[in-house]
Amino acid sequence: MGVARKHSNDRLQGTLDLLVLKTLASRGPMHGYGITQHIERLSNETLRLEEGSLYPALHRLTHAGSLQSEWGASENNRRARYYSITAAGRKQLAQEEASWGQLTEAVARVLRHA
Amino acid sequence: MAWTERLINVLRRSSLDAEIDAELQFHIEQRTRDNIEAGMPTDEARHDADLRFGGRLRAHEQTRDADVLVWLETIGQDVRYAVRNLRHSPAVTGVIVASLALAIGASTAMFSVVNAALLRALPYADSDRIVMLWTANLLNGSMEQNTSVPNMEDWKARARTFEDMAAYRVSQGPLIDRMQSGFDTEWIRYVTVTDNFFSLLGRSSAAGRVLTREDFSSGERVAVVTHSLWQRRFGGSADVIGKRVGLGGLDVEIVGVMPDGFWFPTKDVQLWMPATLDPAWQRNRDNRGTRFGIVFGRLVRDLTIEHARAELRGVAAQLRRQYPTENADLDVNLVPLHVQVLGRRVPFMLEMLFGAVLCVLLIACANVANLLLGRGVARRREIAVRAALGAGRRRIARQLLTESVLLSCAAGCLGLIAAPWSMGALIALAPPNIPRLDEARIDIPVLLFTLGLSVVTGVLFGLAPAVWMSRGGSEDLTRQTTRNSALGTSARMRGAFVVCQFAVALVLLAGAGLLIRSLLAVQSVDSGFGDLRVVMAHLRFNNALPRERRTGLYQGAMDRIRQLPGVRTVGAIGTMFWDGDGGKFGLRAVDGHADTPRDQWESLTWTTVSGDYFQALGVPLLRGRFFRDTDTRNAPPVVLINETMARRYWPGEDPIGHRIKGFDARGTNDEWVTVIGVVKDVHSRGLDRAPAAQIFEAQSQSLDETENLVVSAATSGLPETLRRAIREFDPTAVLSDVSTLDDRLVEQSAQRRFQTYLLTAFAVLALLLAAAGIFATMHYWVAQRTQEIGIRMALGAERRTVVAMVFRETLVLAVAGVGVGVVGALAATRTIASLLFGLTPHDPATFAAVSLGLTAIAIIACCIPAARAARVDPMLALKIE
Repeated sequence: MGVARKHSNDRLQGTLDLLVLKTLASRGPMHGYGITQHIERLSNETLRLEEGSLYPALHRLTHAGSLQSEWGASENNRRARYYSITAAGRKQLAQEEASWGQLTEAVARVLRHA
Repeated sequence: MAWTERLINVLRRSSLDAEIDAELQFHIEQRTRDNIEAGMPTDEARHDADLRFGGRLRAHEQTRDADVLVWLETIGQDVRYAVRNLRHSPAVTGVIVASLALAIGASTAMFSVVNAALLRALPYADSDRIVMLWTANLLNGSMEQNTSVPNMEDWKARARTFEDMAAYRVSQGPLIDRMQSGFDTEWIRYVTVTDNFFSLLGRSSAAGRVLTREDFSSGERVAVVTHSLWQRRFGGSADVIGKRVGLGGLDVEIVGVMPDGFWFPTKDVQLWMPATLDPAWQRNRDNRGTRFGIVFGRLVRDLTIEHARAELRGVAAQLRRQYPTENADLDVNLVPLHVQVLGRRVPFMLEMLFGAVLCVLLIACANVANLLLGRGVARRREIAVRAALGAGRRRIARQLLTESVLLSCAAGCLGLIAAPWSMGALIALAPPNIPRLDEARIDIPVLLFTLGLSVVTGVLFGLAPAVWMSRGGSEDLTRQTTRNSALGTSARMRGAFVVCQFAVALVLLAGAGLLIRSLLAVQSVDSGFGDLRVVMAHLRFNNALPRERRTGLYQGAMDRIRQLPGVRTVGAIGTMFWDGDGGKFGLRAVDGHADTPRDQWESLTWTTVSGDYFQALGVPLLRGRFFRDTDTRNAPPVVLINETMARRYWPGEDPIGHRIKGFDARGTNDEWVTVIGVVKDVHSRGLDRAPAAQIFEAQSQSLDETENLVVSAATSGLPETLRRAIREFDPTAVLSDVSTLDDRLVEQSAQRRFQTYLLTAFAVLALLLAAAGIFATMHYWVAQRTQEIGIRMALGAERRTVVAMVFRETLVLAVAGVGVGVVGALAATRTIASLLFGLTPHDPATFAAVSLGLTAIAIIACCIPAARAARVDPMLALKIE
């Protein structure tokens, strides 16, 4: 909705959103720390988030309706907040994936032909 | 997270902060743990976790901002969107806001009265712990009698449920300020109080001081006055402290002024002084047999009145055994102060009226829900588009709720603006016996009430349309069948609203109908007084004078009045109208009769009259004779009785010449008095109660005084001449409450009129709203079926058939509503049985009339939709799709 739109101009922010959405779409409900680990592992530790910046994004996406969250028990039985993607979140993911594809393709073309 | 939860988050920042903290903490601990497992030393593991996490405070704040800002932003969005939408349809918006404003305004005014009279605490510290303690008489069922000082002291000494008890005695007399010329003598009520009176009530003075224990031991003549007396008589000046005024033959010094709004025991009591100054106190201090005054006490904290009642009953029983002569048959009756102040009829009436106005609001809500549903049909496409664009169901429902709450809050504001006027009208109409009505105003509780009511009504009438429309949103736009079934749901929902509206309206109408018929019945009761134009007045002489002197003055005043131009007859009576506390009495002896068993006793009054009381009022003598000048103190005592009395003791007999004795079984007067005449019954207890048995004795043979003057005259300007004549006769005499008998009788039914007018007004409002509701519903019904009607007509249906179709649909709804309403009304009217007169709460005529009337209104309301249906052009209708 409005808020998501407002931030979608912000590429970096958009990238984080995209990673989070993609992670949750493919892996099911996870807590914030799990998301961090997942992104780091898959990117071969290339993408190192400032981990604290993940949480404002998670909360923002939740309020925008892309994610939903609930408190549950973690693997070692601690109380943790689990996030999962909603139908609206999947739509957003599809859009962002598409525009990310366009962007990277455009950048790649420029790099190839410049 | 639901938006309600978010609202709670904003209100309770700390819990939100704690949640975020927990989440971030979990992350850092988890990372630290993994680091340790990977072989880092503990310190380093923690340091690395912090480093990777970045600024923890910043993360926290940004997360919180995301929570709060998003919430605020979407709310703002919803409101902007709602305003835009409402602006698009100003007619619907106007109708909704106006009808709701009416209902909310009426509810607000009614609530301000309920708040002032019932809810606001009395002006004493912990006023709900203050309890009145009356002496009750087991013999005649009299529940509110005065108490003797020794009995009060025994109660106080033996009861553990009370922190303290105090007593007061209500007196009245002329207030005289000798220092001030042109100071009209004013008759005021004042009380003499025990030394702990003010400390028990827990209030201090606004100026000067309250009465202290020393005032009582020293016997100083001091007094504390009300704020209003101070303002009225002394212009609110500070030098009132130390001023001396004359009161009831005493010179008293004013030592204090109580704060504005303080009163006890009633608002007309203007002054308090020590009981030690009261001659009755001096006489009664140690006498258990004479009743000084009224006792009240403060319950021990956290104890209920039931505890106290049980304990005090036990104490009273002890005292009965201990003092069989003075305390035989004496019990104690505990009444919470607020019940004493309000009585039992006023709260019930106000609750009933408040319930009625909320019913009106409910009907208005149903109307608005109906309108929104109707509009929803038109908005379905817009909502479906929004849903297709990704708006969630909840979000759409919330959006619609925002709209309805916005509407109701606008209506609430309008209602609040109108509230001072409606409150003024209410107060002007109200009977004088609602004790704290003058305190009604728009204050914080009333504002909160209106705000709460607006939000609740907004949610209430917005909920059904919001749920229905948001459900529609997720459906496929193109599927016609779905659309039709959704429309069917909406039509059924609207039909249900109409049925409910009619049911509630019928309940109110039935109640109003019953009250109107009761009022008419009461007004047609023959009061028994022959001439209602008689002028009545309260005439009193300085009570410091000896009684003989006062009665002499009274006779002189009556002689003087008799000579005024146009005056025909003059008389006076001790008590003309009786409220009656339900006490029942028997006679000590009636010659030729066995004693009446106590369980057969009934209300009986014994009153003193002087002059030509009966002649002035046009009360005819049925048998025997009136009093004569020869009925003096030395002549054999004689009485007149009324019809009810004659019927009770001498049915089918001539009571003249029979003799009676005393008042109750322990009457002090042990002489036989002879019945010399029977007068016609008058309704001395109000037109709605049967006349009580009455005995009248002549002032010349009585110990009591007659203060209520009745003057029959041929002229109309009597009140003014009367005032002038009395002022010339004796400047210290106080003439008050001058009115005609007719006015006095009208005043007696003020409460009945108030509740009848108000309930009728609410019922009419309900009727109009219900009529508007069925009109709108049938209007939409016809609009939705334009196509169907067109097809029918094209296939040869006559206009008559189409019109009949509309009326049939209307009748189905109206009759269903009336049916449900009758069932509800049968239950509801039973609760107002005590307010009715001369008919049962299930009066068939009233029920039939309101049922038929309501159905007729429904038919009238759907004439326009029916005409519209008849005008449908088959060709145009078929082209629509």
